[in-house]
Amino acid sequence: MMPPEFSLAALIFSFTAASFVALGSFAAAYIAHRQGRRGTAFALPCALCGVGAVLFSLVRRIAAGTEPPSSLLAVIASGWGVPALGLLVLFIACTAAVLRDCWRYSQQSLSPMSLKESFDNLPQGVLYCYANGLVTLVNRSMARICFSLSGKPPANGNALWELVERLSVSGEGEVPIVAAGDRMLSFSRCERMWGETPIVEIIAIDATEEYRLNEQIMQEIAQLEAANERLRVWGESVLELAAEREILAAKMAVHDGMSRALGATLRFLEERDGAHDRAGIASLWDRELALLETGTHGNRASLDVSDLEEAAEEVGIALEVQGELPHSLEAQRVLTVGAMESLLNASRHAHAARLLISIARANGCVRIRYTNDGVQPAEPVLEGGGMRFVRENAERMGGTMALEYAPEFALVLELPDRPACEMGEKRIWTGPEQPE
Amino acid sequence: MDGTGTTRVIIVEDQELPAQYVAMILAPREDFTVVRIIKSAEMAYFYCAQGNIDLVIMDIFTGLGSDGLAASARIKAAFPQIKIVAVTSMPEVSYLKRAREAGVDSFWYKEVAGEPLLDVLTRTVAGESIYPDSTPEVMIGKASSGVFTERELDVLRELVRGVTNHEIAAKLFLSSTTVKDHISSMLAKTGLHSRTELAVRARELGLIIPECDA
Repeated sequence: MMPPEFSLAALIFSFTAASFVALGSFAAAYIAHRQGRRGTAFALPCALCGVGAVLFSLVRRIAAGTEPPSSLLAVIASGWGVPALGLLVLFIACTAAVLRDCWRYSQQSLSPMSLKESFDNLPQGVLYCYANGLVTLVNRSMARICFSLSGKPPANGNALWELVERLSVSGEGEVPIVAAGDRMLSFSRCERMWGETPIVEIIAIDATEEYRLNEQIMQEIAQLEAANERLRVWGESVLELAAEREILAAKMAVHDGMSRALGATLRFLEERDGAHDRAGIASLWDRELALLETGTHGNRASLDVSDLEEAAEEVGIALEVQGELPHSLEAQRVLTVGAMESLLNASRHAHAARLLISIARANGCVRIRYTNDGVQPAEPVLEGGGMRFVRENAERMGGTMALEYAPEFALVLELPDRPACEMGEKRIWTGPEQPE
Repeated sequence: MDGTGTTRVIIVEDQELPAQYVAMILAPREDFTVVRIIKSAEMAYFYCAQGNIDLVIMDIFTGLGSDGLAASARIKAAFPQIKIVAVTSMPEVSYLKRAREAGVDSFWYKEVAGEPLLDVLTRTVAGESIYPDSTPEVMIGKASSGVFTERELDVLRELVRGVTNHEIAAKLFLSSTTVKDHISSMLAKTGLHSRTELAVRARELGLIIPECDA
């Protein structure tokens, strides 16, 4: 017979333990269920059932006045029957379920080590450093890149970036691209905040294929531009060809005229009766020979200053041109537009006797200044239709027009005057008469 | 006209022989007086502004690459009483339309015989406006230039500039596919083998002259 104090103490202990186990098991099962760990959620109620079975056996023993065994093996050995066997099975099931959950958790969860492993295996090179360049984190790929560029492992992020900028083959302001062995690497740098601490991130990406394609495209663009330039030059030749065709047509007309004159002369000589007008035949010959004596050279290719002087004479103005004429046909054309407008204004408003066109050249541009010796405008000149026309012509070819009032009134044109300018490159006047 | 009823003429032509030839045609006529021959359209306005010109015979593409139609528009805006006859040997498809827009009175495709020009000049001075019905057609590949649609000619004009399909599409507000279709259609019509060949032939024949675009 078991002493009564033992029975009471065991009973109180058993119920208290069972209550804690039950509450704890249900709480753990609930949490495990919420986290998707169904094995654990299943195992814990089973464990509770097992504990309940043990308690049931224990109470039954106490009630029967039998002393409970001291250990689990003793319980099994003492022949508790079904409760002991159930306890064993449940223990195994619980252990298996918990082990399964633990294994799955280790496979599905990220640990600091797995993060580092992934970071190291990134194909891109990544480096983090403080603002002073001290490296805090660098992956294996960046370490290899750094070694291939400098022969040393990465120690300072700022030094690495300076090296990258120095070795970069791309233009200023573009993403740095550096050759590393047979690869072309594209680098980027940005500043981030890590809590309150500024951190610099440097990333290197293998851009070998993109670089190769870009090089190929650039070559094709260069070829295309060269072809366009050839097409432009050829276009000018075609215009000359058209002019030659017109001249040829006129020559054929002269040839026909000479045939008619020859025929008339022949008939005059054969008939010898003076029926044909000798003076008429002579006139025919004069006309055709005068045409033959006419030059056949076109003047489309360049500006003839004598044409401007002739126009100036028309309004009684002496024209003087100082400096070399622009090279490009387009600039010569705009110079002519400005000259015609200046002549009109000099004769109508300034009543000038002389117009001076000064031409200077710098940096692929030509600066044309028109001044006259007439009455100077008392107030700023309003830009009318003529001036507007000059401005439009200058701006259409990428140049500018300005009016100056001191030390004298002047119309000033600044025009691009090189093939590169004609292709769209903007040039700026930098001063007078500088060597190119 | 002056007090004697003579029409004072200015000839704008950069090639001396054709210019002299036109002057020679007018020389026997007492009702026409050639007062000046100038080489660039940019100078025409200046001489018209002197107030003694009744008729301008304006070559469309003149010295220094000047655009005769742009100069004509400026002259007509300032001096509407001056008659202008535009002349050209180029079958450029846009010239007739641009000449009308510029206010040019008459249009004449250069021919060797003088009589048609004299007829055009006389009737123009009398107040008529004489335009050919259409641009002379030229053979490009195995097709006549008349078979091209207006949109195809727009695409061809850009093609002659040497720009890409994408740039043509952006300028003409078309899709790149449509541009490609137009080029394919022109190649099919002409039997030419490439867009470059098409552009070169169009430029060579004077069908498209981008230098004189408005």
